Amino acid sequence: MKSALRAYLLLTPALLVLGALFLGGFAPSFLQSFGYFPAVGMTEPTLSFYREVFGGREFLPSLLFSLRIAFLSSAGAVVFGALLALLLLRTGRGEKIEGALAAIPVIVPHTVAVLLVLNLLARTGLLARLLFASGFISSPDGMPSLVFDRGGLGVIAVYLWKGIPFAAAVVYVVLRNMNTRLWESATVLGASRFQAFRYVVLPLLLPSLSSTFVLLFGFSFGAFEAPFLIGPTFPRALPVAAYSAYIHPDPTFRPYSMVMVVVITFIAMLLVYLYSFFLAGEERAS
Amino acid sequence: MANLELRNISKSFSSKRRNAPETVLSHVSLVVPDGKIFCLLGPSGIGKSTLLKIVCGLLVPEEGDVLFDGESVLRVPVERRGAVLVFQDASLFPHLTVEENIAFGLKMRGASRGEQRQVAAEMLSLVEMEECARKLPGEISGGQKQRVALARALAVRPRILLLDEPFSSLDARLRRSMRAFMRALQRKTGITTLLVTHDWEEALQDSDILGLLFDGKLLQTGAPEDVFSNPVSPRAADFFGVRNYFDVEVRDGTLSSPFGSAPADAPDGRYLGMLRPDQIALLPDAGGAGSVLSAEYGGERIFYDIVPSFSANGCGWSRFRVAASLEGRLREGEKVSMSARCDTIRLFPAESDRREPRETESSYARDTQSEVEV
Amino acid sequence: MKTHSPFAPLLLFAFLTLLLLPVLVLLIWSVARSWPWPSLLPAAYSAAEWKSLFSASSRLVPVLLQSVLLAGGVTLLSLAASVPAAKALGLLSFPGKSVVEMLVLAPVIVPPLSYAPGMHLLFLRLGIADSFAGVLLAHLVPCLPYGIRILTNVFRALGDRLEMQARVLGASPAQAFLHVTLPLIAPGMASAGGLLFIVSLSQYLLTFFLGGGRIVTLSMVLLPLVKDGERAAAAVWSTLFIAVSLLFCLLMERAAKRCASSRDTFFLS
Repeated sequence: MKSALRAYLLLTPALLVLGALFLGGFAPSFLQSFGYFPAVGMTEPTLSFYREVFGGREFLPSLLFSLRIAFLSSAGAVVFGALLALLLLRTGRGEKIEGALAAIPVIVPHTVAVLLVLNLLARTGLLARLLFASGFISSPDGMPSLVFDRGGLGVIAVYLWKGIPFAAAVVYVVLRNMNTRLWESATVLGASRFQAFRYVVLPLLLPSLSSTFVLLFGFSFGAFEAPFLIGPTFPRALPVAAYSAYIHPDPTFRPYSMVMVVVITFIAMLLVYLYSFFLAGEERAS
Repeated sequence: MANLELRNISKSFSSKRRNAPETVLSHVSLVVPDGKIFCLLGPSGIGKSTLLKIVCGLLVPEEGDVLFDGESVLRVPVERRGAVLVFQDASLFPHLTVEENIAFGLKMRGASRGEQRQVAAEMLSLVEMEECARKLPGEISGGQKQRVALARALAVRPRILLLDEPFSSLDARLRRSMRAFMRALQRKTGITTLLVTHDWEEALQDSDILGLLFDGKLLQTGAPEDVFSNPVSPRAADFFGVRNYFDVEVRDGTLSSPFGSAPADAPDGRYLGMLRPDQIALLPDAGGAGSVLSAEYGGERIFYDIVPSFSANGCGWSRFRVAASLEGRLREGEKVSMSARCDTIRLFPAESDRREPRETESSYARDTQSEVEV
Repeated sequence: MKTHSPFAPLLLFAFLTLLLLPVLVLLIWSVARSWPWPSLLPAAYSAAEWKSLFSASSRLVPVLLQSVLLAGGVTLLSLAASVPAAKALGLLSFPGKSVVEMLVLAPVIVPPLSYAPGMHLLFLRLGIADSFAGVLLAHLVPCLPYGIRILTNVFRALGDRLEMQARVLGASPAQAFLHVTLPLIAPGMASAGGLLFIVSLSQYLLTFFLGGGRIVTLSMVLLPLVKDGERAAAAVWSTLFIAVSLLFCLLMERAAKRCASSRDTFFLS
């Protein structure tokens, strides 16, 4: 079919990069996780590395930790982001300054965001100083540990700070393009503001909310910088554990790292599939 | 200028929803003589536009040939074919001024700035848009956009002009003036034109030759008067509005119908007879064979829906639609007698498909998809 | 849906303050010499960190240069690959489209950790490991999805009608693209460009794995500073990072506006 050929011709540069570098970059990791690493003399595929990692005392806590912070931060981002979008829409200022300001976190990278959270939530951070000034605590020790803690609050804070504006932007666009006549029809039929939102607006928002949630979840699940810089030492987020195993001086240790990389990739690919599913739903809704 | 011929054009598209490909055009053949306007009439759908795209080269037919002046142009790429298509929404380039839009084709050909400017000026005066030369498409009205689109098409001196329902997005009054404008332009330039539309009145008024496209097939072509008065099938007849059908029997060279008898040059048998609303006359008659069900005021005429009492005689039709003058206006429920010149009854084979095409529109009355079927 | 109650603007103000206060604090840290507990404002200010940044011995110039060249190059290459890909995905239908769409989507969620080590091995074999070119190529992976996603929407909104119109008027495919399509997608390209620049600039692990320490970008400098708790230095470099990103975004927005309003200049007038 001529149009199929034309399409693939247009896609060639992109597919070359994604095929060779993305897939081609994952392939060695995949093979190494099974112990196939000829460069250091390992040529026997084996499941032993998988068994050791899965059976180890760090894997499950790390996995659960990563899943937990990803879930909490993404859910929070979507909820508060939607709220922010609603506020921007209702005050009619979404386009201008407020919108631009709300977009600043998008420009700031995770590393800097970590610094911001540290400045704010650390034991001697701004929040602690404010609490001290208003008399709630009397010394830094009175401040609960919000960063480097086992709950990963610091990491969640970083992801929330980055995620809320992002979710707000997505929701804002959907809301703005939503046919206002739908809302008006509902209220004319007797729906209260809350009911109109719950039964008309929310269902239409759901595809975008779901896709954004999945996107944020996926991204924060596999992200490295925030948990590396501001996460607890136990349990470590899965990407951090994988990284530590990677930089181990003994190269025959590499497969341990690769097992974790494969697990991360596998879960991420599942989320990619889920995300594309929700994206299709979004398109159908619009 | 050229003579356009389509031979046996067939095209189907694979549909994402269904598994089988959808046949959009089926063995369509037609000829547009040099300098004439051919109107292709058909319900809204993709067949008509597909045909135009095949003529200009944007689509390739699965079967068949396209010939300009007797030479096949199938192998000639779009940009060199010389058949220009004007879309329904004018499709002006939003980032170029009116002048630049018109000169676009010349620029693509490498014409000098001077020539571009000159031809653009010529075209602008031809379509009476000189004052808008420097404006952007976003700043002019729908009718003006169409004029610019026509000018842009004519600027490249095409061999064939293709118009895809060019005025259907305009309001009624503007549409009328634009059509007159287009007809005058076509007469002046003598350009061979293929125009597609779903409006039968426009098709009758604007065409030198009229063709009826339904379900991918060309039902009938001919001069507008011929196609209107002598439709080749009920389906062809239904293109022009609601028609009245009833049983007719021919025996020994005579037809007998609910309206009477007349000599008929047809073999013995049962037929489907057809009369147009304007071919039936009504008279108030207490003992008449019909009664008025409803009356629709159409401005210059009134359309009555008549319930015949002779349906019990196996007529099979529950209503007749009759167009009458405003004099002697009948009331609902009034009994009437229906008469017609039986030699004007058009005969079709008895098993003909009587269903109307999905959309028949008229600017007078709403002859829309009424189920005039029992 | 606009409301006149004072509640909403207040809430909005609170929200925005929460989001932007940290940035303000950061800026203050960059000029704070000493900010001990429990003061709410620094005890002493100093421009020492900034002076050190702009001093001759600082790494500023090489790092900035490498970062901007890298991100700029990635942006250009990404756009070049994204435009045709977006056209295919936005306007054409073809077998395998959903698989391609998912592949294009994947790097947004799948972290660099998944493919960076393997890419390094690949590049070793190709001889471009630890090189600028290698890192440039590597950055394309996380950037392409964003470029393609944005431009696909642009193409979808544009439709193919105008290009078809150009073709029937006598434009070859190349002419139609150059004179009709390109001017009309230019604003979208500019917006995408801004985002691509930031995505590339923010990369750490990729540059780490594939740069071998030879390619030092702003991110490479920043992370160790934050890890080691060098508050003021980190604040200074962070401010620099944000400034560079903002500048580039503003430039792109300016370019986008210019593209949207101007007309084809090599035309009649």
